[in-house]
Amino acid sequence: MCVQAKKHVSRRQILKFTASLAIGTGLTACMPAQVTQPTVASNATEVPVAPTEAGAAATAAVMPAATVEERLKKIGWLPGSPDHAKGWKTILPEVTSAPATEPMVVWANKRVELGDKISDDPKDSPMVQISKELFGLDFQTKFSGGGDDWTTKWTLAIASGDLPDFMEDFPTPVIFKQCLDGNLLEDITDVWEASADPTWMKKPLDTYLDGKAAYVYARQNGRLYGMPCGNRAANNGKLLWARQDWLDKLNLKMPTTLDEVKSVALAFQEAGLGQGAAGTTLGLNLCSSFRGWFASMDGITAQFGVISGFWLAQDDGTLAFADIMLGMKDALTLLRDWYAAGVIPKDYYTVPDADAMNKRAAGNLAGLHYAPAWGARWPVEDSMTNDPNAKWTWAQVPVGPSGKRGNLGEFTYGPGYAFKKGFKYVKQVMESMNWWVSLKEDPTKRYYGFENYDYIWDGDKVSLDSTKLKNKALGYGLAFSRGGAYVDIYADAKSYDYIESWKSIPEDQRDAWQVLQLDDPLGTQTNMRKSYSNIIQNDKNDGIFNKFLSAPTTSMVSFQTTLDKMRDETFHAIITGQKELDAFDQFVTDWKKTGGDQITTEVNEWYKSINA
Amino acid sequence: MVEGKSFGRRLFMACNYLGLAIFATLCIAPFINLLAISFSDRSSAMGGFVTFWPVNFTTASYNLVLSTGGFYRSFVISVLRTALGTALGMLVTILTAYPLSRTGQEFRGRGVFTWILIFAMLFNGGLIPWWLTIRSLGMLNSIWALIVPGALSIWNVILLMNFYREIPSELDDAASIDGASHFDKLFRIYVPLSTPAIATLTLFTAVGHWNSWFDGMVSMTDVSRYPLQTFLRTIVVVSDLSAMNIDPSKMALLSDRALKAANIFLATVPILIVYPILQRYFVAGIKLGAVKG
Amino acid sequence: MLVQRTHPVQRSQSAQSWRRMRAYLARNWPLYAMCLPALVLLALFSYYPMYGVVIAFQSYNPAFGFTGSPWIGLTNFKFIFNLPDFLQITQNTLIIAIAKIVSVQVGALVLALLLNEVRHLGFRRVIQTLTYLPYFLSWVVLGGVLLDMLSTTGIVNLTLQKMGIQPIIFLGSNDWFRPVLIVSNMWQQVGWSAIIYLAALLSISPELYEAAAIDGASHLQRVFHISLPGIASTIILLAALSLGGVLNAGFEQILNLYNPVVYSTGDILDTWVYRAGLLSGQLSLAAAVGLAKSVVSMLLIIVAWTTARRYAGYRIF
Repeated sequence: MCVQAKKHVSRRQILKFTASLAIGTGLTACMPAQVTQPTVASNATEVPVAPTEAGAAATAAVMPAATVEERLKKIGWLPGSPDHAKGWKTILPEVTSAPATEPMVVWANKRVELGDKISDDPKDSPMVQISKELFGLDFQTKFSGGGDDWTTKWTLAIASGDLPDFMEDFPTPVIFKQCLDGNLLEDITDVWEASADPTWMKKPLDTYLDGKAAYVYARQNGRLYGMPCGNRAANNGKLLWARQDWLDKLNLKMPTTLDEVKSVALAFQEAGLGQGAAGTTLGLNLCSSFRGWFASMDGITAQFGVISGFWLAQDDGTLAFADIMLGMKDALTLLRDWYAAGVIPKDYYTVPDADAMNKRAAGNLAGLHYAPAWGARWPVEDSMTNDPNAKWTWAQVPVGPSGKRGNLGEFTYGPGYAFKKGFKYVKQVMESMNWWVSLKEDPTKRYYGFENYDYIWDGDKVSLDSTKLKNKALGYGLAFSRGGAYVDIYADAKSYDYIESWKSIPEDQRDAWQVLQLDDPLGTQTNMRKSYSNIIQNDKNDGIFNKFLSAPTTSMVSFQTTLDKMRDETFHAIITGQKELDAFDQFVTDWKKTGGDQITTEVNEWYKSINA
Repeated sequence: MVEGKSFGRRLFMACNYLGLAIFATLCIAPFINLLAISFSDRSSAMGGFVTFWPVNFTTASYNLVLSTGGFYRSFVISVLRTALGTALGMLVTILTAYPLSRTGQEFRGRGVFTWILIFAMLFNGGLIPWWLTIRSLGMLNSIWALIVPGALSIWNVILLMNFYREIPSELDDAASIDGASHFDKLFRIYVPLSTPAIATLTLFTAVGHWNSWFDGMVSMTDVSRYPLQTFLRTIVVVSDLSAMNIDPSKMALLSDRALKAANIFLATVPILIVYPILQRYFVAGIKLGAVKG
Repeated sequence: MLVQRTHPVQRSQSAQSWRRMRAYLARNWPLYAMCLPALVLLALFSYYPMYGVVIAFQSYNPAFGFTGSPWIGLTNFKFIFNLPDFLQITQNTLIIAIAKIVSVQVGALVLALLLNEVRHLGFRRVIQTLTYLPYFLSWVVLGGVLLDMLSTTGIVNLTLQKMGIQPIIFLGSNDWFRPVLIVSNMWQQVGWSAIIYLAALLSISPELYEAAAIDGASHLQRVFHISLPGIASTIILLAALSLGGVLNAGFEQILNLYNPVVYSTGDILDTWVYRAGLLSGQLSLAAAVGLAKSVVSMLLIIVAWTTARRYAGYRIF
């Protein structure tokens, strides 16, 4: 054990370290060298009369224990900058669980993007270090991956029977189903009831859509197999984005109906306002996806009450597949008319969403597109760089002939985080998750990460310049998922509102973080917050939700590839005029014949079972 | 040499030179485009304004790639696997090709051995059992998983075997009379006389190692041990964009074309440098190239 | 090139054969030793994992493993063969693959003949180096470039527009998709394949050309009467060998270029397997198609090798 001479060891320090001593000595005894914490160790050895473990535990029970803040400060991972003149203080949740008495190794898996600047050294991971200090948990990586590697790695891990103890981010519902069928997951029902934080874990899940929706994946046959989490609410709900400067130039108004979308698109195109060569200006920027995240068709089909791929409730209480409903035929009729008129790009069906965004919108070839709230920044910021005159505006998705507005309503909860069958420390991991979630999802706690890793001081200002920041290592579990997993899917909305509320603070009294957030020369940040809160408000009325919320049925698994192919071929052929509208009726017949009827039966059996 | 210098001939030659020049230019246009994008600023690259010359020249993308520790790390792993993998692969190939090049009388069981090779070339049990084998051998996450399982390239064995056969039998007979063993013959006669073939196969093997990504993906459970092409692919192919769980904070990175171009270009540089230099070997070992191509 | 190595005829039966065996092994044991590394590698990484084919006959769930997953006999195969699109996919695969083989071989031959006419060595080397560069770029990269070039706002259509031609949606038209596949495949492969032909051409003795020139043969006649016959065996060999690949229509290329509208002309076995296996998690179906493909490929390769041996005198083994 390294004994590093420290200048002063105050009585107070000694006292507060005794509380963590049980954890400290227990852990250091059994941990590999690189993960021990020298600070804990050195102080422990300097305590004049080194107490035994039992003695330490006894002392902790009697003496006032060190606060969470003190403990984090000691290990050098205190979030926020409370000591800086323009700094802020992060309010840390209390730790209620008993100190650990044995080292608890947790093998977890991690989804990463390799372009990220990541450190390999667990010493650079605040999540790992803090979890070790506060909860005695030692997180290790079983496997990591990104992109479609992720699915492959899961399949291999299942096949080898060597799953992580603590699993994140099931890549597909099929894989979750395979694990369930194979009886590989721990039933966490009882631990959840006893240990999950009522405010930050249970409440958001129990209140979302009357508590019916959030557990649908994770709860099977009345037992819970995962801690549910989801993407932020209405992440892909659409708005219509348009070039304000083009509208002004042509003296047009922001479209509010689909007919107006058509006329504005044609006017833009005719005027040839795009930045590309003559004749390359596009009307409505559309990509090949029927349902997606940028320039997809869901913003249009929703006006006819359908979203491709969704199962929608019928008047008779059953579920029907949107792709074969009459609304879809109407939507296709409109799109076909638009295609013939030149409203949508002639080659839209060869254009991936990323290209519609990066090349066409950022390249200023088109002045109209459907995009979610984050459309305020991407591709708008790049569009503005490429054309300094570019000004974008947004509005709710324009309505169709029915006059009833619809939008892509996303049910975002997945199976969440699951545990391997037989894993011993479910309760401890869950308690640590309680702590992290309540820290990160509550905007009033003011958690913005760690100095030098998440932000850096530049005089009196904070900067997020990634080239100057130190690389953090991975964290695990809820609140650290790479894809942005939330227990409370409205957490982002709340945090945006909280940021807006700072505008009432006089400018000279704002701390550096507030200054940074409110400093928005392009106006895109503010716009994103506003448009997101608009979507959130309207989501409850407009949102069209998929009512089938379970792992895929047997027939779905078998026929999915064929049916998707059939749908894609037919719909695009109808829109582009290569097939007559009647082809839709033929598609419906074929769909039913090729497994569709079986799927419908299975889906409705499931629906009955959960409503029973 | 008698060369007719008729007008038709000269016209043909002019067209030929021009045509070939245009064709060659078209072939490398994408590289130039890629290079131009990698040196352009982010917005121009995304907007599609870059053709064959950088717009708003910047080296920002390269700075970023090179400051992301992952690139170096993967680069080193790739270099290491290429060196070790090529050495081991060539050793196995040289050894295996020799008995196969002998006659059935001399190498009894040659027919059986041949079929064992052919069958293995055509059938495989799929990814999962293969991976489980690697795992039970304790090779997961180690560089050996990239080197050992693929060390035997049956195609290369066939090519080299055919090259051995072209070597005049008189040499072999003379050596036999002098009492040379098979090992003597292999390393004193066959290997030295097959230098062009071995050089060419070495190149194939080395480039194969450099370019392969799939084995890196499945046998390295930890992304920090990915070889370069695997690392690159996860950056270049953003397939999970369509998975619909886009975190706004990811957007900036995902859409960075210039960054991707810089990554691709850096990974291609070693090949671009090595190939023209070693081009002369292709011609020497061409019989092999003929079949491989 | 059979090298005859006869053994001297010798005495009494069993002792004789035993002694012969010992003599044989004493001399030839290194041959077996040399095979050993290969055999070990094959046993470990090829033959042992072959038990995995069983999932084609199962409804495989990795959690139950190869022994625990339910057996369903030929159901997977029946399911695939009954799919409405199976015939179409097979057809596409064959058409695209054959068109690619022919186009690359012809293109490479023409390029080699043209390069052979070039007397300036430096120029020839530069052209060669440049034309085979695409061979070393993956389809991820090449596909990205093509998508860009061929879109309605891309450079090709802009040029067409200037010439007064309506834009063509190359990648979205069932008439154009296959030609695009074939031409872009040539772009990637031709320079590389031409090296082979060029080498064969260079190995033809210059004296033959000179003699023909003295006899008054034109350049074109020389090509047809000397060059082509001189490399005929190479042509036949390459054509025969590529037969083994007619079920491989270029997975990576198509995956990077196709879209649903061109499924009817562009969807091939491998892309289907990819969508089924990786995207929908139907490992058993994917394995069944893979197994069927392996069996057919095996037959084709045997035919190809026999052909190569008979008509080009090239012994593969």
